[in-house]
Formats: sequence, C-alpha cells, structure tokens
Amino acid sequence: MVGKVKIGLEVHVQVTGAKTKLFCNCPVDYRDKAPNTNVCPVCMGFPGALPVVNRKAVELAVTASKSLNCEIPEWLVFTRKHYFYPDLPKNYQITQYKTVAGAPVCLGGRLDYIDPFDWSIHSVGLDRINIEEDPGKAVYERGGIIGSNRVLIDYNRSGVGLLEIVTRPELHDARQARIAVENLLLTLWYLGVTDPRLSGAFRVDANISVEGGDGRVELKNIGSLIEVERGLRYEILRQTKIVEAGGKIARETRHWDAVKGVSKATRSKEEETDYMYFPDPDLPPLRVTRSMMVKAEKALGFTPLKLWSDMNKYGVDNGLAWSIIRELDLAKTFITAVSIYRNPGLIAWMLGNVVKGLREKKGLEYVPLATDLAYLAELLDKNIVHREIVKYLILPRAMETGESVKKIMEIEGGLPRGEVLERAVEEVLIEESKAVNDLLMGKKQAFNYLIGRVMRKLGGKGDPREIAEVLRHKLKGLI
Amino acid sequence: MKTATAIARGIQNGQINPYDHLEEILDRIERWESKVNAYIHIDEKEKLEESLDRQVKLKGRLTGVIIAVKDNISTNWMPTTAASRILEKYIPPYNATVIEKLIREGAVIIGKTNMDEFAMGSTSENTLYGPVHNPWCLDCTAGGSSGGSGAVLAYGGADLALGSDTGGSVRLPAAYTGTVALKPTYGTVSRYGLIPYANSLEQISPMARTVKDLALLYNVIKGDDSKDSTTIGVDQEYSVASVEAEKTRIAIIKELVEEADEEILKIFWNTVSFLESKGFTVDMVSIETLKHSLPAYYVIAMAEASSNLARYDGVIHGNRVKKCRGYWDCAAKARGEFFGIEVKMRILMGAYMLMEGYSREYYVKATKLRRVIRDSMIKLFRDYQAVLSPVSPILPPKLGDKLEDPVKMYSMDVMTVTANLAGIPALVQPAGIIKGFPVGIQWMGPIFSESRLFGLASIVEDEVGFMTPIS
Repeated sequence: MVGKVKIGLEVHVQVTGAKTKLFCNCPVDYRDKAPNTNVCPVCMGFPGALPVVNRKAVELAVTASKSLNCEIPEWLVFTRKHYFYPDLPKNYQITQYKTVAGAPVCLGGRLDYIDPFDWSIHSVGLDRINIEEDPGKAVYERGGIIGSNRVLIDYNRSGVGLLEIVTRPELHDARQARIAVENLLLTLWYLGVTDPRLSGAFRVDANISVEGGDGRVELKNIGSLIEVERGLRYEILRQTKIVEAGGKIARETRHWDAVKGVSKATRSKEEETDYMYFPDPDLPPLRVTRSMMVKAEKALGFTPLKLWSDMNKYGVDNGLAWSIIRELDLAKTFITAVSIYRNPGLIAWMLGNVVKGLREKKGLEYVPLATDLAYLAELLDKNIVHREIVKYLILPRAMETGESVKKIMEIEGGLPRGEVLERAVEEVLIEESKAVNDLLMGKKQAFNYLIGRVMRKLGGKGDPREIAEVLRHKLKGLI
Repeated sequence: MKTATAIARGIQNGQINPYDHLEEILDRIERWESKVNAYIHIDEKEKLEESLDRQVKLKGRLTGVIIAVKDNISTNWMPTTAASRILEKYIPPYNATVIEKLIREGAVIIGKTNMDEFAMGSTSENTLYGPVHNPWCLDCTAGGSSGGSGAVLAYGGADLALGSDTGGSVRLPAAYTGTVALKPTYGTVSRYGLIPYANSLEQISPMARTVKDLALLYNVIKGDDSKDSTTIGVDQEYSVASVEAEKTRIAIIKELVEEADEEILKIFWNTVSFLESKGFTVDMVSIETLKHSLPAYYVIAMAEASSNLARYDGVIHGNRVKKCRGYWDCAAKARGEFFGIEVKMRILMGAYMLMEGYSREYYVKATKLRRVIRDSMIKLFRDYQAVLSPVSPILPPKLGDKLEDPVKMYSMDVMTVTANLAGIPALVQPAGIIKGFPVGIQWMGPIFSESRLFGLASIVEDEVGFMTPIS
C-alpha cells in the first residue's frame, strides 16, 4: 500500500504583459517571426551591451507577488547564474537567488485556489518567486545536446521575462496540481502579467515523491494544463509500482514526453553544476517603490478569487461562475455588464451558458458587448423577451453577423413595423383583455407583459420600445 | 605638438587646416609605430579624410580632433578585439555610447590601440599583437592595460585617447609615458559598449597630454546613459577649478607611499614641497585597511571576469575551432586555444572564488572589505579635499621582466586599485623626470570632485610643464 504523494511545482510564466523583454526593448511577441529577427545586442549578449531592467516587468512581478500573499523585499537584487549551454547567449542567466546578497521578488506566499471538484478554496504554500530571463530555443540534430554535432538556435525568445513560481511540496494528486496551476495562470492573466493562451507562455516542472520511495523525481518539460495532470499521473503510477514491488525511487530528473505519454530519465548532469551565483554588477539593486505597491494594490481588485467571492455573494450558480472565471474576456464582460444592469444571475446565464456554449460549438472567440448583455438582461427581467429567444435567436445571430443586439432587434429579419406591428398590437389587446384590465387598474407590470405578448406574436422580433410606443398610442387616453 | 584644445579652436576659426593636421599625425605614426606598436588598427587615409569631410561640418567641441580608442571599446566600423585571438576580426554590430558622443562632437576616430588581452595586465604585453613599447625607452613597458593609448599620446599619434581603467589601467600608462589620465567617478561615464573585464570597478577613461585637454574629453564622454543602469543621474559640467591653497588640505596615505622605490619617492616629495610652498597643508595619515586593497581588488576583478568571459564559446561570441565534436567540446577547445594564459588564469581563479563553499571565503569577504575601504576613504574626505600619492611603486620595467612573475605584476597596481574599489575619481599627471623616465603622481578626491582634481593638477602642470619623449 502506497501512502501519501507529495508534489511541488515550479512554474515558469512569461511576463508577456511587459510588452518588451526583461532587459532590452525587443518585443515579447516573438511568435511567428523568422528565426533570430527579434533580437538586439543586449538579448544576444554581445560584449559590452548592458541589461536595463524593464520597469513594467518588475511592476507586474510585484503585483503578482502581492496577490500571492508574498513577503516582498524593499530591494530587488539580480543575480548571475552560470552554466554553459548553447541557447544561453552569455552562458549565464540573470535571475534572482535568495542566499547571495539579496532576495527575490517574493519569499513565502500562498496560492489560494478554487477547486471545481468541491467548489471550495484550497491553498498551497509558495517557497518563492523570482524574475529571470528566458533563454533562446535550441533544436538539436539528434534530439538532445548529447550526441548532436549540429544545433539550430533561435534567440527570438532570449531575454523574455519569466516569473519562476515555486510551490512547497504540499499538493497530493495530479488533478489538484493541474487545478492549482490553472488557478495560478488565471490569476496572472487577470493581473495582466501573462497571456497563458500563447504557446510557450508557461512551462511546468514538478517534484514528485511517494511515501516509502525515499526519492524525489523532478519531472521537466510540461507545456500544458492537460499534460500537468497526465505527466503527474504517469509519474505517480510509475513510482507507486516500484514501491509496491519493494523498490526505491532514484533521485533523478526525468523528461516528460507528451507524445509517447511517458517520462524518461535524462542523461544531463545539470544537477551537479555549481552555478557560481553572484549579484550582477551591471544591475544595481532596484528599490520596490511605494508607487509600485500602490499599483499592485489597485490591481488586486480584479482577480479570479475576488470575482468568485463576488459571484457567490450575488448567488450565481457555481458552475456558471467557474465557466465565466476561466475566460478573462467573459469575466471582464460580466463585471461591466453587471455594473450597467444589476442582474448578475441573468448575465451569468447568458455568458456562462449561452455564450460559452456558442463558443465551444463554433470554436470562435465571440464575446458580446457588455452593453448588449445589460440590455438583454433588462428585457429578460421585464419579461419582454424570453430565454429561448436570447439563446437560440438573438445571441447566435449576433455572433454570426457581428451586429449589436439592438441592431438585430431593430432591423434584422424585416422587423415588423407599421401595419404589421399595429395589427399585432390590436390582436393582443383583444386577446389579452385581462391584462388590459389589469393595466387600466394601475398594474404597471401588465404593460411589459403586453409588450412580451406582441413580440411573441411577431415570432420574437420587434423592437420593444417601438411596440411600447404603438401600445401607448392605441391605449391613448386610457393609461 | 599642439594641445587638443588649441587644435579644436584652430580648426573652428580656420587657422588650422584639419587635413594638414591629420597628415601631421599620420607622419608621426609612420615614424614611430614600427618601433612602438601602439595601434592594433589604423583606418586607411582615404577613410579618415572622408570622415573629416563629414566631421568638420559638425562644429562640435572636438571638430577635427584626432582620437585613438582602446581596442576594448566597441566601434561598428573597425575591429574591436580586446587584443584577444578569441575576438580576432570581430566587428561589433553597434557603437559604444562614448563613441557616439565623440562622433557627435566632430571628432575623428583614427584607430584602435593595443592593450593587454581583455585589459588583464599592467604592462600591455599580454596581447595578441605583440607588446607595446614605451616611446621614452623602447625596451620598456608603457604600462597597462591601456598602454597603446598612453604611448600614442606620448609620441603624438593622436590628440586625445580613450582607455579603460579597472585597477589603474589608464593611470599606469599615463605615469609611464608622461601623459595625463583620469579614472572618473564610477557611474559618470557610460560603459555601454566597453567589453567588460570587471564591471563594478571599471570606467572608460579619458587620456590626454594636458589637464585642460583631459577636462575637455571628459566633458564630452561623461553623462547619464539610459543604456547603462550603473550611470548616475548626476549630470554636471566639469572645469579646471581654481583651487585656493589655504582652504585645501591634502592627505598623504602612508600605506600608498611606503611601497614606492627611491626614485619615485624623490619626485613625489619634490611635488609635496612645491605644494607646501604654494600654501597647501599636507598631512600624513594612515589607513590600515588599504593594505588589503590589492587582494580585495583582484578577487572581485577575477570573479567578475570569469563570469563576463563565459560568453566566448564559439556559438555567437568568439571564434570557433575547426575540429571539435558537440557543444562542450567545441566551447572548451575554442576557449583553450584562443584565450591567452593570463586570461585563462584569471578565469580559473575567478571561478574558484565564486564556487559554492569558497565564495564566502573569497568573493563575499572581498566585497565586505571593499565596503570598509570605501567607507574609510569617505571618512578621510571629511577632513581632506584630496589625496596625493605616487602611481606606481617602480619606474617602467623592461619588457619581459614582469611576465615571469604574475604576483609582481599585480603589485604594480597597489596604489591605483583603491580608487576603483571606492568608486572615486583619480587623476594621474607627470611630475618630473628621473633617469630619463617620466614619473607620475596621482590625485584622488571624493566622488564628483573631478573639477577640483583638474584644478590641483593644473597647478603642478604649470610648474612642471608638458613632457615629450621627442627630443
């Protein structure tokens, strides 16, 4: 019987929100560029070129650290970490290190995360976060550095800012690890630190040990959320089998091969390297200013956790809430729409159910305007339109044509006007004599009911305002 | 030889023909260079004339002035080799900030000067291109590592020169060639484009034949640079300040004097007497911690050097060997074949000092000592306006003498490294001639006191006059 599993994560996230690389003015957007065209003397490490810290990247790192409950030092120190590798232009990486003359941007800290399994908030402790530069990308003739005589290197990525976020070994299963990473990425996405949808925007390494195995394995090269869970599941199973058979786990680094779905021991001797850390003399210690802290504090008003707790307060269904929170644009639209028309339940339903469903079906990035959602919520609220019409007619049409909801309701599909509209109103007034009576007795909501009946008669079409006008005209003198 | 100040003025007002002036300098180079070996690269005459065509139109502070640049300062149209085989034929893709500034002021950069490989050395002998000979004594060293720049100025192969100073690398050559040099306050001159040896210690440094010329060049190259985070946001013009003797107290630090040879001290004490006769107060003080300056300096310099030179592995930077297999083999062979012995030694020692377990004993301890040394200098400058000292404990040694024993060579820097550790300015000027050799003195002051140092130096210069090996 195998006991507890301990998992610690090391998540590298590109600070794409900084717009430019960590120490030079090259854009962070290197994707789809011809190899070695997104470079300059600084990120190519030319002799004499000097790094200058990207303030925006540091601000974002401070914001991230603040949101993760870190201890943030007053002075940030950058350190050189030395190792010879062809994708590292200077053969040292500028990073942060906690024991030599200074501290990284975050020490300690805690990631609180929403677990969609039981809808509760769990926590995992953080060891630290450090800011560092991404190396270039190397493609080896024979797959790996050992045995290859040729290597192709693209330095377009070299120098992009990374946050290295290291958790304590406090996670206990593969699913939980995936959820923690997903929550972490969402938080950083909300804070504007990164865009996790970009390929290569994050990479995960994991330390895994099973009780009784006496060894810890570092699993490297996990590039997506699904692979976090797959890779860990595999590695836990592998270790469990060994322990059940009475074996011990070798302390080693293993490489996750997503294509084959297996982990392989690496032959590199990286672990024995002495990195010869020392503070980079080209980068004076950088003070974490009050204005950085104020900016960070402000950014904390918009995080997945904050939205989750707001939605809970509004009484929004957990499933709907989570499906909105997982998409930054839906989350932003939700908040804006609710600020225009305060019916969070209806707006959450439109976004989390209707829009999400449409996106999944069509594979589009469609998101309606917040003003349209607020408008529809008002109509729904007043019973002027019905959910089915919103779900099957209005929003699908808006997605397909790109037109605003108002426009669809006013013009699209030969909106009934003039005689058609007048006839429909007249018919409804005859059919709904009870409602007309109620209205005459002073029941104001009966008016909205009548508008709804007219629209239904018109097959869901018609502009409620125009209908209201015709109704008022017909009932002139009576109401 | 005319001063750079006079040449700039003469060209501006039409009294000097800049092409004739260039011709004159090329003549001197023709006469001296085969003996002195101060230049690694000199641009072709046609190119220099084309450059003059452009530059004379600029009406800058250095219009038509001919400048020699040490070969570790990046120029995008001339090789920048740091006198190393690993960078042989390397032409940088960009210009150093100081080069841009010189060009903007109308200067003509004539070529690149010889030096110790990666500025590691005190004699300009550790170079791919053969040793620099001192124009005053052709079988003697011109000092190092900016020996080429010093020698060029001495024989008139340029009006002004740039060097770099990590532990005395412009001051030792100035002392040995009878020229003047300033190691500026750390952070006043951009290092962008300087091939690094020890980043926290070094500054690109102006070199000249007179104090006024030195101030002129310093004012052009200094200034805040957004490309160098270690430049300081203080931007002021410096001048040759008039110094009131009665209000100026000069300290002589015992530890910086007692190592010097008799001849050096003779000139030194002559200068002290002269200053006292001018009304200056001169006191002898002792700062015991300065005894540790040299080891602290070499530990820090070598540690930084081993890191800075890691990039030369033949992938992007540095030449490649023809026969090798795989990355590590190719990197090791390139470094093994193309670095000189002094460079390899410093890389190894630096790496050792940064290793886990040794770092605390060496690197960290040296940085603590550095702090103590800096603080003791700050404290001294509460009571004194300047420090006067010799520059080198010895007269220029014969070429080859110092190569045998590295520790002997390292000890040539004993009087100069304190300024680098403390980040303070230090100016060297000639103070006399003995046995046919020029002998220099060194002024140090608190940070940003360059104007005062120029003023003090000009008092001595007025008395001693300029020196030239050309009889």
